[in-house]
Amino acid sequence: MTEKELIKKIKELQQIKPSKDWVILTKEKILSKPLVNEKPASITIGERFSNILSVFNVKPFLKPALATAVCFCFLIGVFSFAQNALPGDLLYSVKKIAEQAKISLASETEKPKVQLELTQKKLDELTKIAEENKGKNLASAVQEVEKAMKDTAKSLKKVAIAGNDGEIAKEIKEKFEAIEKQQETAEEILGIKIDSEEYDESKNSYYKILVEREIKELKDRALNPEQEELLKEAKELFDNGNYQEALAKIFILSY
Amino acid sequence: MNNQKKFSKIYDQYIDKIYRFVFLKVSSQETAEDICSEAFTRVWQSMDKGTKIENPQAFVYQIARNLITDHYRQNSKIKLVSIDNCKEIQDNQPNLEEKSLLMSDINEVKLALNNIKPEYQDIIICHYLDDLSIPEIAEIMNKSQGTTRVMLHRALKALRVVVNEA
Repeated sequence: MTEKELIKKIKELQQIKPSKDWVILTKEKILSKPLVNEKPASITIGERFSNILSVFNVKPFLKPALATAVCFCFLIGVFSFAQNALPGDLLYSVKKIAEQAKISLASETEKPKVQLELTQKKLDELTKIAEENKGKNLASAVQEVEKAMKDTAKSLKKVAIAGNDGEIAKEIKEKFEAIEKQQETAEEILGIKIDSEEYDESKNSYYKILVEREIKELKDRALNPEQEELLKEAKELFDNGNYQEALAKIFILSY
Repeated sequence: MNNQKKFSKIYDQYIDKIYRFVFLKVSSQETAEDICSEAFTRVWQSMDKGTKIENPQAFVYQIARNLITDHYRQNSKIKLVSIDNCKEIQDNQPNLEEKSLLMSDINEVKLALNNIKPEYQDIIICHYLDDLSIPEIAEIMNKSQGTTRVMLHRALKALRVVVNEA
C-alpha cells in the first residue's frame, strides 16, 4: 500500500462520529451539572439593600430617604416589640436602652419620679414572671428590681437635699406607697426577700428632710385651729421617727 | 459572551473530533462517550473557575489525552477473576455491526492504528483525520514543530508497515 493510499484510507475514518442524540444529551447534562466552585455572586450590603428597595420601584434620588425611613420603621418595630420583653429575654437589653434614655432626658427634680415608675415596672415584671412561672428569668428579674431600687435611692438623696415642690413630693409619696404594696405582693408570691435596704433608708431620709422642711415653713404661716392641731400631730410623729405618717398629716393640712 | 455560550461554542466545534480521537484510541463506544463527557465537563469546570483558555482546541485535546492515559492506567490495575464467579459477564465477542465493520477497509486501518505507539496514533489522528496543522499538533503534544514533523513521518511509516503486514 502506498503512502497516498494509506492517507486516503485514514481519511475514511472521518466517518466515525458520535450519535447526534448523545451529543445533545451530553451537552445538556454538562451544562445542568451543579458546579463544584459555583458560588453565588457576592453582593455588597449596599447592593442587597438596593435590591430590596428596587421592589418599591422608587427613583434613585429618593432611595436614601426611603432607606432611612425603612431603617427608622425597623428600629421602631424592634423597640416596640422589646417593650414586652422580660428580664433574661434577648430583646430586654433594647428595652433597657429605651428606659435609660427616658431617665437621662428627665430633669433632676423629675428623676426620682421617673426612677420610681421604673421600679414599679420592674416589680410588675417580677410579679408577671412569678405568675407565669418563668424560672429562668427569675434571677435576672430580682436583680433588675434591686438595681432599680438602688438607682432610685441615689436620685432620692440628691432631690431630698435640693428640695422639690409639694406636688412632686405628693406624687413621690404615692409611688412609695404603691411600690411598698407591689414589693409585698412579689415577696409573698416568690417567698423571697428583695434587698431594698438602701432604698428604704433613702426613702426614710427623703421623708425626714421633706417633713422637717415643711414643718419649718408651716410654723411661720397663719394656721387655723384645725391646721394647728394637724401640725402638732405631725411634729409628734416626726419626733417618734414616723416620717411617712407625719408627711401624710402635712399634706392634709397643706392641700 | 457568557461562559455558557463560550462553552457551547467549544463543545459544538470539537465534540466530533474529540469523540473520534478518543474512540480510535479506546476502541469502545461506551468508553469513548464516557471520556468525552468527562473531558468537556472539565472544560466547563475550568471555565467556571475563571481559567483563561487561550487555545480551546489544544486544551480539550490535552484533557482528552490525559483521560485516555488514566483510562489505560486504571485498566492495567484491574485484577482478573475466575469466569466461574462472573457468570453474567458481558460477552466481548464482536456483535454483527462490529463484525461487518471488521470486514471493511476502515477497520483495517483502525486495527493497524491500535498497533502503533500511542504518540504515533495521536499524531496521525490529529493531522489526517482532524486536519490539524503541525504547529497545532505541536502545541497539543508539547513538542517542537520540528520534532512533530519528524514524528508524523515516522508514524505514517510505522502504520504502513503494520497495514502491509496484515
